[in-house]
Amino acid sequence: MKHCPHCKSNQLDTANFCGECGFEFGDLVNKRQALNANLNGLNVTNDIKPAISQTLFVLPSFLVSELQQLFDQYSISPLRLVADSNPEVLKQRSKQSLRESQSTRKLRFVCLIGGWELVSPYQLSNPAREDGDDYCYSDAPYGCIDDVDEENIRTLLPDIPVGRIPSTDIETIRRVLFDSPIAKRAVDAFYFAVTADCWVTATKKIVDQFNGEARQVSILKSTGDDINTNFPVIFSSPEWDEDTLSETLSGSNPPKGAVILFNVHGSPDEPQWVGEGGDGERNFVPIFHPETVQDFNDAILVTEACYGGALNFDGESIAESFFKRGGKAFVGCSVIAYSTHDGNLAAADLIALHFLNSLDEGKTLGESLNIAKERLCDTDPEFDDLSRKTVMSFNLYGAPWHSCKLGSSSWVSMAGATVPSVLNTVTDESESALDRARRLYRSRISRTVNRLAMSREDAMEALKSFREAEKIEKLVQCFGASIETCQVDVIQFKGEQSYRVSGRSGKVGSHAGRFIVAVNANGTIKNTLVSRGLV
Amino acid sequence: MVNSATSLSGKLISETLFVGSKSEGVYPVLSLEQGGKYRVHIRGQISQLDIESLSSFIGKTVTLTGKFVEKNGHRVVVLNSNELPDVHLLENLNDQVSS
Repeated sequence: MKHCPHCKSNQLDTANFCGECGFEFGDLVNKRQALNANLNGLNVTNDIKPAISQTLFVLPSFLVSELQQLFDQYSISPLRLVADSNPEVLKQRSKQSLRESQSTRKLRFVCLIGGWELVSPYQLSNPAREDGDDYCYSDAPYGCIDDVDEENIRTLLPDIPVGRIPSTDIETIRRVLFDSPIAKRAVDAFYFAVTADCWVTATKKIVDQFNGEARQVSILKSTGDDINTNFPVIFSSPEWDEDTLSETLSGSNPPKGAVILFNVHGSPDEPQWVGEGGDGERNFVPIFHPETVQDFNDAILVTEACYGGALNFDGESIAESFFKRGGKAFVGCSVIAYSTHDGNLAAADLIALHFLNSLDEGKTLGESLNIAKERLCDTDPEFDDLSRKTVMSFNLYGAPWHSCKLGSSSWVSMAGATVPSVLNTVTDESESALDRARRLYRSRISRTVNRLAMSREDAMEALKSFREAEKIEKLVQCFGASIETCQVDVIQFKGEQSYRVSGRSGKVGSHAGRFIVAVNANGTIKNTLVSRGLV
Repeated sequence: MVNSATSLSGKLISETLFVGSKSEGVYPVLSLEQGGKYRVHIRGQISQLDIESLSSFIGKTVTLTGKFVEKNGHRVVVLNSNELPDVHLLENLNDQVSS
C-alpha cells in the first residue's frame, strides 16, 4: 500500500491515480515532468509545426487523449486524428479520411502511431511466391488515394508519404515528432555500415556511390584496427560480431543524426541480425541485437536484412528497440528481401542507395523512400516480380516530414521555397501540390512490365540470335545449368523490349539455386541476379 | 497463428529454402508422416545455424515437441533445445525394442 501525498488515503502500489482525490503519482508524474522539461527546452522549428498541421494521424483509440494533450502543449493542431480500437475498422476509416482530407488540398503526410497489432499493415499478395511468404506487409496503402492494384506497381507508390512510429510511449512519440531535423547533409552524417562479408562488394558499391569518389570509406575486417581514426567505416562480419561491435560502439554513442546502413541477414524467427563469411563456408555469426547500441542519438538506420523491418516477433524487434533507444528514422523490409552480392545492385540494394541519395538531396524521409521505390521500378524490368515485392515490403518508421538538410525539405518547397524539388517543378497555380506530385509520379511510373514466356523453340531461336549468345551460354554453364533448360521471357517496358533468361542449378554447392540473366534488346547481357552460393 | 506446445513425428531432412533471396540457405525440415512439412528452429539461436545443431538427426525419424507456428505462409516448429525431451529419436527406440 502507498499513501496519497494529497489526501493521505491508502492506495494500491500499482495505482497511477488516487482513487479518492484523483491525485496523479508515480511514473505518470515523472513522465509528465520530463515532458514539460523537454517542452521548455525545445524549439519546435517552423518546418515541423506546419508539417503536423498537414498530417493525417492514424492511431489506436487509447492514445488519442495523450496525443491531443501533446499537440495542445505545443499549440499545434494536426490536420486530422483517425482512431479506432479495431485495426480493420481503423484501416477503413483512415482510407475515408485520406480521401476527404485530400479533397481539402491540405494533406501532405500520413503518420501511423503504434505497432502492427494496433495499426495493422496491409497484407499484399507476394509476387515472388517461390520464397514462401504469402504476403508482404506494407504501410504504403495508407497513403494511396485510390485502391491498390497489386499487379500494377505504380498503384503501390503512395500519393502521400507515409511513416510509422512503432511505439505507444508518449515521450518516444514526442521526440520522433518534434525534435528538430538534423543540421547536416546525409552524406556528412554517414557513420558506418555493417555488412556480411558475402555481400561486401554490393555494400561497398552502395557506400561509394552514396559518398562519392572523393570520400573513401574503408572496410574493417580486423577488430584490431583503430576505428576511431577511420570513421566512417564498413564493419565486415564474421570478422566483426555482435560482441566486438557492441564493445566498439559502447565507447561512444553515434554522433547526433548519424546515418547507418546494414547489409546482413535477418530471420522470421528471431529479431537479431546475422553476418556471414564470403568464403562459402556458411560461417554465420550474430552481428546485431535489439540491445547492441544503447543510445542511437537520432540516428537514421537503413537495413537490407530479411525481416529487418518486421514487428511481429515474440520479443522486441530491432525497429522497436531502435526508437526506444533514441533513433529518429528506420527503413527496413517486412518480409524476405532480395539483393545481389556482386556489384550489380538490385532490389534492396537500390532501395538503400536511392533512399540515402534522396535524403542527401534534401528530400524528406517519406519522399526519399517513395523516390527510392520509384527508381527501382524503372530499373531492371526483367526482375519485375522481385522489384514489386521489394516495393511492397520496405516501410519507413519515423515521422515522414523530417529531412537531413535544414531548409531544403521538399514539403517546405511545396509551400513556395526556391529549392528545386520533385514536387514543385510544375508552376501551374491552379494545380495543388498534391495533384502535381501524383501527376508526376504517374507520368514516370505509368507503364507496367509485361512479361511473356516464350515457347521452347522460340526461346532457343532467340538465344541463338543474341549478340552475346556465346557469353550467355558460358554464364549459364557456370551456374551449373544448361541453356536448353532455361526459361526465356520477353519483357516489354516503356515501349522497349528485353529478355529474361532464368533457370535453376543443382551443380554448384549442395543445393539448387536460382539465376536470372537480363538481356538487352540487342542481345547484350545487362545484369544478372543469382542466388547465394552460385558464384 | 501459434499453437501451444505439441508433438509431431516425421523424418528430419535438410532443404534449401527461400531460394534466390538474402535468406537462401539449407534449413532443417520435419517431413510429417501424415504429409506436410515444418521448418525447424531452435529458440534463441541464429536460424542459419539450426541445420548444424540438428545435423546428427538429419535423415532420421524423430518426434519433435515444441510450438508449431504458421505465420505468413511459413510453417515452423520452434524447439527449446536440440536435446531430449524436445527431440526424441524414434529410430533408436525402435532399435532398442527390436534388440
